[in-house]
Amino acid sequence: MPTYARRLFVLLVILFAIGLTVRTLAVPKGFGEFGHWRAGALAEEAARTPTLQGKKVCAQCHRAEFAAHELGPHVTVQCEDCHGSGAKHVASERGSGAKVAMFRHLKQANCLACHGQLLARPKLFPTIDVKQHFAEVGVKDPKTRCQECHNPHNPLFLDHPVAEARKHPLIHPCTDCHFDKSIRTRPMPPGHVVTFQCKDCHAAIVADFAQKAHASLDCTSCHPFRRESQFSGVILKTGNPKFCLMCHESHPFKTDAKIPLIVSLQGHLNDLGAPPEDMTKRCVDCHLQDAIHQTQGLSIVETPAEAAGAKGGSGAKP
Amino acid sequence: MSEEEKKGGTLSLPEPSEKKPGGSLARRDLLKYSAAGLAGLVTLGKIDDLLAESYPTIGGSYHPDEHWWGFVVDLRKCIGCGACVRACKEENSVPDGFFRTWVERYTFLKDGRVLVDSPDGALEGFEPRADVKPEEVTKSFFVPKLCNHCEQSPCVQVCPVGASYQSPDGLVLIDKTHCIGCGYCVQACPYGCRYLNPVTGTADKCTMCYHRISKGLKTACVEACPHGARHYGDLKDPNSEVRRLLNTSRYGVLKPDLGTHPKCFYIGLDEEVV
Repeated sequence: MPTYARRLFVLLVILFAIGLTVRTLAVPKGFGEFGHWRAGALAEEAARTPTLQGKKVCAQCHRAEFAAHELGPHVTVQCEDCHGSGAKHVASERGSGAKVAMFRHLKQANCLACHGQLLARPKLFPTIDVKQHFAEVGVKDPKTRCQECHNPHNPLFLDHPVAEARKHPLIHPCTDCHFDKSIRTRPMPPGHVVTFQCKDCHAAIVADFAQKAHASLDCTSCHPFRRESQFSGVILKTGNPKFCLMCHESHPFKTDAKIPLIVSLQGHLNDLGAPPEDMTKRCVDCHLQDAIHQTQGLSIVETPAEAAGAKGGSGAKP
Repeated sequence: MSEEEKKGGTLSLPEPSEKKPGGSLARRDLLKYSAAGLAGLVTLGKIDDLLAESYPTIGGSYHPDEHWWGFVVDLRKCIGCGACVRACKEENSVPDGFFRTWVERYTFLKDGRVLVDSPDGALEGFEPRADVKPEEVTKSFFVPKLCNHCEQSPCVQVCPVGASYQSPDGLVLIDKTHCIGCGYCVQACPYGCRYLNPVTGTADKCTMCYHRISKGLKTACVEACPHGARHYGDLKDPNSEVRRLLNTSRYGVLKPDLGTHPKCFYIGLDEEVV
């Protein structure tokens, strides 16, 4: 073999060896085993430890809060949505992690992140105009925090889980769909779905309610109605005295110009000299008849057909 | 015909009839053996391929090959609270000013303008727009954004070192130990879903919380969503929540004309959303 060919051959071998070494060093182990990527990367990604724990983990220590939370409309909101990472909280409490702020939610803005009025929010989602709301319930200080009256874990103090709320036909007026107001005077066409207003079925109660102290309110102020579809919704069950106290409890930030206030339920019962067995009484046990509405005519109409009949034949016959 | 004869003559190949039984390897046998050998090799190769395609089980019970993850966002339900953004930041230690998921607000005006805003990625939710009068607005809604985990992802295609890849379960992921931080993928993503993490110096993006879903947990954003706007699930499973939603709703994907085949589906999507 001539010298030049041998040199060329040696050079090529050296270059090949260098190339092979560089490739071996640069290409990680397992690369190309399942595609153009390093096989170990996927297991490494999966091995990270989750930080958010979910409400069931929080419930292991915070039982009372969890029980209240499961009844209320915030049941779909995770603890960590307001309180931050559970794992960081536990680490901080055990002294193995940095201190974390658990109560970043103690501001009006935090409630309004969901419940503030925005044009982009879905129409069925409950939103509030704070100014208007404070004017209605007589709150003087515009910076008053929502949880002064509402318990964030169960903001409406429901007694039964939202999921067990009573199904009810839609109680919105015809104008929900028909923007032309005159439609109300026309007979419904055959086969039209039956929609309701409260007075269509509960005429006596609505008439009586109009005479009583709460007449300026809507029925849905105390019987929270959540629309679930085009035709029906649910009535959430209240009755907890704390529900009444949301408006009637006395606070330094409130004025009693519009709403009669009491200091506390316990104090009120003491003042009346109520016996100890009455200490669990509900407001409506005494005040239903005089302040809210009569109880006659509470019978619930069973089917839409009966309801249509009860309306005096003005509705459709489904 | 004559040419064939001529050819045969020149090469002086032995006639098949001249073959002696029990002699050296004949042409027919040679062909037979080579075909069998080839078939054997192909089969071996196939078996090898089949074995190689199955990713080993992760964490004892998770088989990547059995899943094909997808994401569904119900735009009709999003309330723009930003809980998903906060949860994602918390779960994945996303540095300030960067987002793996964020929420945009689209505002349509009577004069035909469409305004889009996302103050700090909606980390603290939204305030009413100060520059728009409510009576000027025709419609408005929120659009949560996250990695679309495209089937044909441009970001994976441009990675010069093979650090971006599509996992066997359909997710677009980054091998952080291998990424050189060149940023090509950040520019290649048509949806703006990638960023260069200033802490690690590598590209970073939504992993669809791979460390959670591979353990059977929900992704951080799905878990945090208080109004059921976000859903993730296995597109291979005919009974999964995402399959049910896709089977019963009208949906779209972002920028379908790019041919990226996103696996993030939007229910109630508007034409103007990009």
